[in-house]
Amino acid sequence: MTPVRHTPRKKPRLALFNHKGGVGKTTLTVNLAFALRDLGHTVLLVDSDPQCNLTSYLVAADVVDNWLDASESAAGKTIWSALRPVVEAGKAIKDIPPFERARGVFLIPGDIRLSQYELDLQQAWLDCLQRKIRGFVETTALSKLVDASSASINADFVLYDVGPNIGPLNRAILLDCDFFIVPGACDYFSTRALKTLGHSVAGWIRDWSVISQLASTDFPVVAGWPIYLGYVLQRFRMYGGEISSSYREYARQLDRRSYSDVAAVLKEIDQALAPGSLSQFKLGQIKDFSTLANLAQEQGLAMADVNGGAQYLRDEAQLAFREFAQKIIGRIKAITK
Amino acid sequence: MDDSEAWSTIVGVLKELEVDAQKRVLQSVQTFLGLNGEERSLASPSPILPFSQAPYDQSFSRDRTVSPKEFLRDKNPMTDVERVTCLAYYLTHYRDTPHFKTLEISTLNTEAAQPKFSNTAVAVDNARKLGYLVPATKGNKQITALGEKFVELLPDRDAAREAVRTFRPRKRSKTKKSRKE
Repeated sequence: MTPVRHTPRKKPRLALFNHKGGVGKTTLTVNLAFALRDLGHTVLLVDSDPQCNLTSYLVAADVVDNWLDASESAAGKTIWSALRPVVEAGKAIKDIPPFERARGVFLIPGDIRLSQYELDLQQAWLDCLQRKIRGFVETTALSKLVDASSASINADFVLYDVGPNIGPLNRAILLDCDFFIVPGACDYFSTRALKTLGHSVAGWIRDWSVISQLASTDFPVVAGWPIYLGYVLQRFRMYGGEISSSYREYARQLDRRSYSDVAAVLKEIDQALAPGSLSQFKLGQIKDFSTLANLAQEQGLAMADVNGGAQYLRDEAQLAFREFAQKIIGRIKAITK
Repeated sequence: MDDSEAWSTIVGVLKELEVDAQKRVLQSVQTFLGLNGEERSLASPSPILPFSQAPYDQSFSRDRTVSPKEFLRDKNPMTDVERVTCLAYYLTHYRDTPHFKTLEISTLNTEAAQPKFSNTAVAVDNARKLGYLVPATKGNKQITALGEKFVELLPDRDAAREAVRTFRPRKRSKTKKSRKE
């Protein structure tokens, strides 16, 4: 069965996804959110990694601990607080207002108990195959939570921060996304990871195209049509204005493999899943800002806004993330027009 | 070593082993060398992929590398020199051929379904004059760092031209200069 094409939402959802760990997904997600905000957009960040790194990045440690302590109570504010009624009692999602971290940047806080939801999702997938409504309810619960939260703040963009794995939770998230971007580090494992990434996403799309047909017609399911927007090169150093020689070959490999291992695999399902030619898939390159990244995580700010670090580095970071955000907006516009 | 020598060496070594051990070693060697064709076809898909009618090829080993035709379409070279440089880049980074002859450029050009060069040797020589190619050993050519950068920035022609304009070749070391003097 060939998957049916879907039109991306006007207010798109994106995931920066790579199952290889340590490529800088969370740091990139935060800095992209602030860059989009600086371009005049409202952004909803969804911490869907049970490690809660995004929440720890943006919120003081003691506040995060308090949220985690209270997440199963009536006053719970985390992503698990919202999903728990669905998972444990088959009830409706609990409405939790997103936390306004900064002007135009909102957060649905993460929770370690999201791993419980992930365990249930595996069974829910099988339930879907047996046309059990509970399977579809659980598989689409996170999407419905994000529907409600993004509508409440009129978000222009939703950015999912995902964990480094190919598990049922990431599958549910990718199937809910309109677009995904692959952050790639300049190292051997990152280049190798692209192949399994491309095949996994292709497999999920193909499977969902069948499973979604099994849902009753009055039950709204996720589109299951994540379009590959491109990759962003990370974790490299510069020398004399160029990517230094020890990283250059990996940068070239990522460029080649982003196309052959992700775009080409998705194009085999449908050209519209990876629109564009070779050079269009490179969305940007974010060099290693070393101390700025650490300062940004400690202070819960975008790299361009931290106190400390060299001014020229902050300026470079601001420019790099702004260009990255503009490229994403431009590419989405080109695809959706 | 030819086939028969390899055969007798393998048999000679395996004879020293028990039958079970012989089978284990043979299977292991087959797997190591990727000769076990059955293994690939027998490998069952992931349990979360229960559908047999795949609309796409699930093979991990299939080569989906961009073709020279697609590569040139994407880079959109406007002149013979630019096309030669793009082909040189493709040979270097997609065909693992960093040193090549003019004939290989010409052959790849044909594979990429491009119009014939009016004179390939002249185009290659012009690319050399512009600093995109340099001579390598045994009459071969190779692409320079400038040539690579130029191709990587295409199809953004403005950025590519700017890169060429601002490119500064590495200065000769003082030691060499003083020796000459």
